Amino acid sequence: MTCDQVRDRLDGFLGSALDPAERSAVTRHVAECAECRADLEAARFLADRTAGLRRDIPPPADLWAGIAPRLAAPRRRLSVPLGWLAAAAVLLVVGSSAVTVAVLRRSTGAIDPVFATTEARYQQAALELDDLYQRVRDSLTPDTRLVLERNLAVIERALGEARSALRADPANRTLEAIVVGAWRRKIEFLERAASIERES
Amino acid sequence: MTSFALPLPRARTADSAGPVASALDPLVAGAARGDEGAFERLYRAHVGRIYALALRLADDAGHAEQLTQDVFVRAWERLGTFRGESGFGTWLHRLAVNVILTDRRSAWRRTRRITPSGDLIDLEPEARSAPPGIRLDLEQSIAGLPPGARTVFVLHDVEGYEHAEIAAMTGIAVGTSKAQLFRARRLLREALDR
Ligand SMILES: [Zn+2]
Repeated sequence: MTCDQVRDRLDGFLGSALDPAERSAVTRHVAECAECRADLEAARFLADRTAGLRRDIPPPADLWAGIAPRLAAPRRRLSVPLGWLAAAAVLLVVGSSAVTVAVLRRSTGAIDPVFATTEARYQQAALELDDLYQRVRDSLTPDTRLVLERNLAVIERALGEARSALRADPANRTLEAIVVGAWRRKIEFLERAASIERES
Repeated sequence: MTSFALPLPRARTADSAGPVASALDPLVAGAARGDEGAFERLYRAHVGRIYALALRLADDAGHAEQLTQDVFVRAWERLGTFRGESGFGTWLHRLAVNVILTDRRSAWRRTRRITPSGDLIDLEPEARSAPPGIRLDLEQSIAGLPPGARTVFVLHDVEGYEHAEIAAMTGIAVGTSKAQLFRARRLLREALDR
C-alpha cells in the first residue's frame, strides 16, 4: 500500500470501517513509515477533541437587526439576461437619491437605517452583476480574468476598508459617503466586466 | 451556482439537517414567497450553525458577525433558487461556505499573493505560532492555523464535507485539500501537545 492509499484510509482505520485485509495493510505500512505514522497519530489525537467542538454557537449579539433592513423585496432570477443593465441603472438612481437623504440625516451611535437600506440596494445590484459576470467568466481568457479580478480586488479592498471603518464609527457621515462611493465604483466595474464580449 | 448541485456532506453531526429541516419546510416556503417573519424564524433556527462556521473561518469575531449577516442576506436573495433537493440547513450551510470563502478570496487577492495558477498553499501567510510553553485549547489552535489548512480542517473534520466537495467549493485540487488536512492535523497536534 502506498502512502497516499494509507492516508486515504486513516479515518476509516480509526473508525474501524476497513475490512481486515486493508486494516492489516495499513498497520504494516505505519509500522515502517514514519510520515504515515505521524499522520495516524495526529488523527487519533484529534478525533475525540474535534468531535467535542460546538457546531452551534449563538452570536454574542442579535444580528437580525443588521439583516432585516437589508432584505429588499425578494427578486426572482433574472429571466432576460440583457435586462440587467436597465435594472442596475434603476437601482443606482434609486440608490443615489436615498444616499442624499442618508447623508443629510444626523445619525447617532448605530448605522442609519436609511443608509442600511441604501447599501442593501447597492449590494443587490452588485450581487446580480456578479452573477452575470460569473456567467461570462468562463468564456474569458485567463489573462483577461486575472486583470479583471485584480482590479475588482482593489475596489473590494477599498469597499471593505470603508465598511469596517464605518462599523467602528457608525455615525460618521463622511464614511457613509465613502462607502457609497466605493459601492458605486464596484457596480460600475462589474457592469463593464459583465458586458465584455465573449472571447474564444 | 454549480456548488448547489453537489452531494450532501456526510451527516457527521446530529444537528446538521435532520428532522428540524423538514419541520421548517412551511417556513422556507413562506420565506421564499417574501415573508420576512418566516425568514426571521429560519434565521433564529440556523444562525448558530452559520455563526460557528464563520467564527472558525473568519479572522475575528466582528468579521464573523458581518459575514453571518451577509450569509442571511444572500440566502434571502437566493431562496428562489432553493429547490428542496437537500435540506434547507444543508443548502444554507453550503451557501455560507461560499459567501465566506468568496470574502476570503478577495481578501487574499488584496495581499497580491495570488498566482495565475492560484494554489492556496502558495499564497497563505505564515501561521501565527503560539509562544513556546503555552498550552492552547483546540479552538485557539485552529484559529492559529494558516488559512488554507484551517479552511480544509474546519470544512472536513469539523463540518464533515468530503475532499471532493471542498475542492469544488474552494477551487483547490483534491490532492491539495488532503495535503492541507494532514498538515492542519499535525500542526494542531503540535500546538496542543506541547
Ligand atoms: Zn507512508
